[in-house]
Amino acid sequence: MWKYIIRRLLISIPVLLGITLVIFLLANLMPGDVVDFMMSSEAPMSKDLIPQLRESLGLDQSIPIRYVLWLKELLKGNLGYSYLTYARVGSLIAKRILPTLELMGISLLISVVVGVLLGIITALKQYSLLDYILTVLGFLGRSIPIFFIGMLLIYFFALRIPIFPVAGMITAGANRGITDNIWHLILPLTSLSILRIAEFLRYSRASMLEVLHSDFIWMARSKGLKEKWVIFRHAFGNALIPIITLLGLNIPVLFSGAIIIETVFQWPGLGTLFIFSINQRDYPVLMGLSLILSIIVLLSNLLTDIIYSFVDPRIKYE
Amino acid sequence: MKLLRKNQESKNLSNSYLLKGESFFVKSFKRFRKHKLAMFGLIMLGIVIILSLIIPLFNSLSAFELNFSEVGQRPSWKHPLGTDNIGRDVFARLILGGRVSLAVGFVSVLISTSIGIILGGIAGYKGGIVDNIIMRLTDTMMCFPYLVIIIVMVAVLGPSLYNTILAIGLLSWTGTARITRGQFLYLRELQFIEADISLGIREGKIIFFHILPNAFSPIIVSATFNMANAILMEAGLSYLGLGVQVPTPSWGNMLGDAQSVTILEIMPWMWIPAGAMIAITVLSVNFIGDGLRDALDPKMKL
Amino acid sequence: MPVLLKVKNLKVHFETYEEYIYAVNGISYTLNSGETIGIVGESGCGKTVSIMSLLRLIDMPPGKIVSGTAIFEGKDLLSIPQKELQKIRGNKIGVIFQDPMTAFNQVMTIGDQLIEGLIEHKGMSKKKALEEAKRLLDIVGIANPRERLRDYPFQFSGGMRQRVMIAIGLICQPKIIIADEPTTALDVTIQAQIIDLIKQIREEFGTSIIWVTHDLGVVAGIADKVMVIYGGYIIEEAPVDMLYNNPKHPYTRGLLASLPKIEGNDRKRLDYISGQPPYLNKLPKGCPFEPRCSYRIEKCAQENPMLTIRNIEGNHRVACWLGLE
Repeated sequence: MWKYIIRRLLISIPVLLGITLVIFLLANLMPGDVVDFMMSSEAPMSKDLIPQLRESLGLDQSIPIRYVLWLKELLKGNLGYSYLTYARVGSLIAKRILPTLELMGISLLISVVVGVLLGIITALKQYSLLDYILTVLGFLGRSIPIFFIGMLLIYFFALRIPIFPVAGMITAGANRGITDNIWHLILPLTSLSILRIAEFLRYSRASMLEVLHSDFIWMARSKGLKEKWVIFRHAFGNALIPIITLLGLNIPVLFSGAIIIETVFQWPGLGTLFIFSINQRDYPVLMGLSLILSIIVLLSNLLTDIIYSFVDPRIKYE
Repeated sequence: MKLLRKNQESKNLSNSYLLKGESFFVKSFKRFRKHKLAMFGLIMLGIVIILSLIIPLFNSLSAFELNFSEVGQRPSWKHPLGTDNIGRDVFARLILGGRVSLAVGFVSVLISTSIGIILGGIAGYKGGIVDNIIMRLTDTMMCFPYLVIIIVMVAVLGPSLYNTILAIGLLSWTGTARITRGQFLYLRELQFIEADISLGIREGKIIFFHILPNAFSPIIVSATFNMANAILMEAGLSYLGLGVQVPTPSWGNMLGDAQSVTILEIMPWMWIPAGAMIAITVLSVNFIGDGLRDALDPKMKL
Repeated sequence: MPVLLKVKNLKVHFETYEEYIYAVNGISYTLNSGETIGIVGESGCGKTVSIMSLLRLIDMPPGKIVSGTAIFEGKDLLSIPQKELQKIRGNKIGVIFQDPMTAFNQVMTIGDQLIEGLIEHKGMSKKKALEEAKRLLDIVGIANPRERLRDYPFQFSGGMRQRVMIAIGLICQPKIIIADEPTTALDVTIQAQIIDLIKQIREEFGTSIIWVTHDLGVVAGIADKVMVIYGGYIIEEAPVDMLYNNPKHPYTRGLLASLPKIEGNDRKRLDYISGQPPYLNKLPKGCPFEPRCSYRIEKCAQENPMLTIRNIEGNHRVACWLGLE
């Protein structure tokens, strides 16, 4: 099993390198650069300043050289400086990573627990009314765009009936602590989680149903074991194993959702940072963000594989 | 294009292949008809398509015409869904937006399914190193946040309707590729293919006329679900301002235009219909996909 | 010999929204103490369903036991409440499944799967149960039983897995073992070993066995009495020697004739029964075997002889219109 883990770790390194290359190329192939952006949004500059500005930002050098320079800095732990604000990319990200993690993390937790629970219940009670209702709701959940859900929630629960705050993470100015944070969290969290719950429900239901009809369940019953035992000891274990892989796979999807939800609710996280840096062609921020994101994805995949290898004895004793 | 009768070895293929008097298609169609939700979806989608194609031909109100005197009006006889914050008729925009969203859905799925079939088919049929490389590529792509990659691609190409279609089409093939590969891997081992080879039939013919027709059921189902996702993806991109650009209406950017708190609260007619249309359309496509899956092969694990 | 199990008029049907299947159509037989019955038939003839439904081990829906009784120890297995049935399953009546690959829980150790029944039915402590499990593994011929208890199913070969399956079936020392094609998934040499093992066990424990198979060779080696099933009906029943030496039903004759024989049969082609076994989505008017029968007469297509099985001589029963000699 340890061999497996080390193998996975080693493979990740060239993958990571490849990713840095792809990120760099993509970012720098975008039409227009930050100087164009600066030009259009501020007072018109004298034409002579443009090349000077470009040179000061290092944009006049060729792409391969810029790539190598960036890589060098990366290895030193330096993610670069924003073209726009000259702030350290690292600190920009650090400031915004917690809000995003808060949103994504809690959402993942809720989605898994609620989704899997409901999925298993509907599998056990197949064809019941609950099953039918949840199936239809599941369909709905997959068909409504998340930003629309967010907007509807804001409309009904923040504007028409002012229960929740409309946007942002904390009430501006005042620092009222955790309850304030939670209050602001509820609407974005719900929007983000609805789709995830529907997904987990669908998968765990399918997994459970498949297990319930397999041979070894009949064998367990033929031993005269109590039905509760058959379900909890035999069915569950087998049905839940594939769910673990699903957990890891959900991290990237959650981030996609986070980008959109953060925009809807003006949540000060990495999602909004991502959109800003794309629109403003602020490459260093964009690249730094993409890199961090890739690392998180790689790590979560690795973690999922490791947990899986612990849980499934077939891999453990490979 | 003949569907081959199953022989006794290939018992694992869908039972519907047993040509007992009725052809595969007729049997599948009958099963589809029984699926209430799927029929509902088919009808709804049909309505949406027809409306979005026909109404703009008759509509006198343009989706682009600005009318500063009629800004922000509630729904009325003249403007069935009111006007938006710069005086355009919302209903006209909604219908035209339907064309856009549907177009993106269809065309991008066409692109991504074709790529997926080609890549997956090659991987599944050839096996070995080719298979390995293609699968590594697919796995790596599947790892990353879908939206992020697409946003980046659209940004690189420059946001527009065509680039949105292109980006979604070029980046959504992974699911189809996986399924196609799985099917090819399984089918090429079956005995009737061995028989074909021993009869000396050319490889190309084998692939196109013998393997592919038997593989298409899960591919079609997957393509349908992909279309639902494509529509949602375009909506998301346009909402963020990175997809279809104003003034061309798309359901997504109609929602994006309503992003201010005042508009949200005071002019709900500007954005709620657009969101509802997305939901209805995607729901219909999802129902159809579900029905197709049950009709073509109830045992499919999709 | 006292009667252990008496099955009367068992009918099992399956109802899906696409079709209705008459899987088992009135099967009756008696299992005596210490006896081994072989149930023979082609794939899809209903033999597996008929024995699995004795312990109600089929999916109900879509299956349903339409009628019949199965009296065991004074109780009707088909209608007693679930709680009582559970006490009999694995305990008084054990089951050996066909496919040793899929019948095991892949993420549980063999040991755990062995002792479950003991803990449930005999109230043993885990320690004692493991000892008993080890003993059983020994009996079925697994080397290093103590270590193997901690292994997982995928760490065993096919033949080994089937032995473990037999151990599981036996562990609570049931009076009856129901074996559903236990050797079908194995290759011939292993088959022989498993059959020998079961014979040994039968000697030692005195278990009665109901053995389902499509392999006539296997049945000849192990059964006292043989029942041939076709289309969900018993069409012939006889003590094993009588059946093989003097088969009465055309179907049985066809089956036996199609066995390849070693004694030189001047290189003729193998005999076979033409046609396909019936797909019973409606009850046949005449004999279900009639389309394939080379002895058929007019009555065969009009009335179904399989509805009443008649005694020909001694314990030999046949369901056919022809008084074949």
